[in-house]
Amino acid sequence: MPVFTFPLALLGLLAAPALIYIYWLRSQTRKRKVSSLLLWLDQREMWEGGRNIYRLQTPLLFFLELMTILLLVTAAAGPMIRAGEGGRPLVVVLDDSFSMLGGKSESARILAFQAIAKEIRASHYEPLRLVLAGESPQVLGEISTSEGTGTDQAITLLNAWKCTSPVAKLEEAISFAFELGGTRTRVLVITDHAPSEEPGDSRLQWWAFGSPRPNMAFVNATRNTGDLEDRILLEIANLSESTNSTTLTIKADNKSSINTQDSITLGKYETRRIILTVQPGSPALRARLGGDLLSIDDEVVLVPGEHKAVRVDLRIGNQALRELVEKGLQSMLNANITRADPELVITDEVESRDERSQSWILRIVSEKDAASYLGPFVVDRAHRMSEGLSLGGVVWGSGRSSTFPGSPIITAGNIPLLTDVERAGIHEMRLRLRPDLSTLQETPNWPILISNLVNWRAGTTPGLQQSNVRLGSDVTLSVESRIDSVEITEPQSNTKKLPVRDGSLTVKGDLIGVYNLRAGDNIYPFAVNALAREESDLTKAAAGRWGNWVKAADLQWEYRNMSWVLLLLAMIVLGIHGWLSSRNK
Amino acid sequence: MEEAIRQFLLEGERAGMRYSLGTPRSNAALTSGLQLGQRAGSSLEFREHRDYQAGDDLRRIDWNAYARSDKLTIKLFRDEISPHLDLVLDGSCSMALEESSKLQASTGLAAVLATAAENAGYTHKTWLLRDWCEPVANSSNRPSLWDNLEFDYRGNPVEGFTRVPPKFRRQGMRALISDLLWLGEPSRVLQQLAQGASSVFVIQVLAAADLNPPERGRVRLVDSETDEEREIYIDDRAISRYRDALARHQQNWLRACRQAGSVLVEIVSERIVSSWELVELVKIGILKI
Repeated sequence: MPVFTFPLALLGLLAAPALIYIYWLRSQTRKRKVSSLLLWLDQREMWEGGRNIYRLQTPLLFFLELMTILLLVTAAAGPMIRAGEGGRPLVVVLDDSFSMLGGKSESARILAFQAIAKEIRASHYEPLRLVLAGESPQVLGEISTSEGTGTDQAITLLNAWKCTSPVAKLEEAISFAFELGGTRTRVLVITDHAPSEEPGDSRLQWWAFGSPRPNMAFVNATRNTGDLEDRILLEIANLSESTNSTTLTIKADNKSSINTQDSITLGKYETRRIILTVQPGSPALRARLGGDLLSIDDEVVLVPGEHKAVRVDLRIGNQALRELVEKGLQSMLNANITRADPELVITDEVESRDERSQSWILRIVSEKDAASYLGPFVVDRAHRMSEGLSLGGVVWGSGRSSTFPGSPIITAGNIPLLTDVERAGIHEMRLRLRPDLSTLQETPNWPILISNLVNWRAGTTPGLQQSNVRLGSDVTLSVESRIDSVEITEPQSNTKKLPVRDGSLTVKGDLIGVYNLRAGDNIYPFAVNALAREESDLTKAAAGRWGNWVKAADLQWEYRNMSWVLLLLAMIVLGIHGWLSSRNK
Repeated sequence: MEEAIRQFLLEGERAGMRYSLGTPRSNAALTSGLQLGQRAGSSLEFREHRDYQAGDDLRRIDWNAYARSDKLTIKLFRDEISPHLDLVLDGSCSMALEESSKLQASTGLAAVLATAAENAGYTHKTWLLRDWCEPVANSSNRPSLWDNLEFDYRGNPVEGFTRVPPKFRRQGMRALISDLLWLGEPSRVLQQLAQGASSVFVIQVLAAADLNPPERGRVRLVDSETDEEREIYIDDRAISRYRDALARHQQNWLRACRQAGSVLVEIVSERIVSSWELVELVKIGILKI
């Protein structure tokens, strides 16, 4: 079906009945009596019509004039037809967050699934691409509808749309969709909430299929492993406008240790925090809430973590400096000061290093020729040692030389204050510090520096950095240097083997449940839980359609204006009309 | 008879008081009669002498003059013509064409001629040409006393003329008043009319609408006699063709009239009914003031 750019021009079709009226009037001959028809006998019959004066006279010229009117009016209306045989490209951005599952059999995902299938059947898109909008855009697939199997292909692809992401970054996905599809593409966003504002780009449509619903959900769950006990934190939120009750069941995998069931009543948007302690090394703990319309956030699994302590050897002669370092280390739970087989050496000695040692070294350099620096401090924020540092207002006493070994992590202007040298995975850092000229050790930056160093070192020891993560988070496993691959068993028991690079492997926890990583003889489990308050909150869900694809400016991209063809035809018809008129005279 | 026709007759009678009937100059069929004609003829009233010309009647040679002058001289006498007018009026529907003065002009003209004939000492009789040529009641009297004039004949006047031939008075003048708009050979009518007549004249009365076709555009023409209809788109070309056809028709009649020794005069009805100035008839001598 053609689309008209200026449909008001179709009012010109009123000229057609006017023409018919004119011809009707012309057909009304005047009656005139004459003495005799004798002298009229050689006159020709009227070429305009026949003898029946009571019927509308419709000679060929009438049809030509009528056709001219139709052609001109249609041309003025700006008819647009689809350009070529192919359809217009469409990219469907699918909200992959787990809020789309709210409502179970009437969830936004199921409703959207049906709407997409209907749209694909009704319109011709070529090609049709599906993009998942999760933490980052991901192409689900591309469909060619030219062979008439587009709907089946789309349904097959849409079955891979699981909605298990903890977040849906739709803006990124939309930008990605436009880059993917090009300037002519249309983008259809499928989600469960209204857009923040009406889509400004007329190539974009926003379809939402959500419905506001109450939901009780776990919004936080952690398990801290210590030497004496494991501390478990559970946060349960009532994400609704009214008070709701549910049951909380906590079970351990070995059924003998913990098995409790309590009733919980929470007020409007109230969050309840529950803290438990269990024996170190206790098996995985499962907490479950009573069923509601979104089940994915009703259960958490917390597996026991590995307590990784770093052996630190203090070789500091300066007593004041030693006390400062000891004070910093004592605030760390995973730092053990020992001289035996240290993993980290903190020293103020000058260039004493055993090349065979696997120990990391922090060398504190106190130079005599020193000065106090107020900044500005330049910090390499990508370095693990700079995490959480805030050096505003800090006075840092350091040597004056601008040349110092290692890659600078922190500098005061061109004066390196903290540098790093890496050799085969072994780091040697140099900290230039004159405590008597500094206030650094009196600020939180000092324990942060020590903590960053210890945690970094702990992270490089074999094992997992985190054992319980939120859905979509990355989990890093450090392995011994002899390990070159790790076997992963996913929650659905799918097993795959991944190569290890630089002694570590990062796995994305995009499925809910317990993963098991086998590295050599060791198995490292970690649990992934759907903990996302924003996605569990279904009260802001909405349904509706926003945006309009059919706009004049955009029509030009996929439609072709056919006015010139109609004008050409009108000229031809007028030419025939003129020829016939002159011939009949 | 309609009162309107009587009024037209009365108008014509009044108009005819100014005229007396003459003899048309081109009439070749004059014979002896009661009135002296303008031409030389066979009456006893001497008019003049002239030299003999080949073909002259030898009986009219003035032998006395030959004896005196040794020259053949013809003695001419005034022509004696029969002082009677037979007036034939076309009674077809076309003579009473709607929205025209044709009826008024035709009946008035008949009354003028009858009155002019009386003024000239003629007797007269009027005939109405319908399905046969029937005499008009009281037509020997004053026109205003005529009766039974009906113009509703829908046939061909030629057939009416030939079906029952009228008994015209011999040696009398005969006049035909008609629009002549019928199919048929004019000579058939003219022969019938001229047989035994001293002179014949034909007056063609046409309405202005007959000379000038109706307005341009799409017109449904209705024949006033047959009611036959014909849709015609009238434009300049159609008008031109119509006028050509009329001219051809009139030429046919004119040619036939010449052959029969009669005179044809065209009268436009709308022109004469206003003043009854019959210039055309005076010009050729049918009427005298």
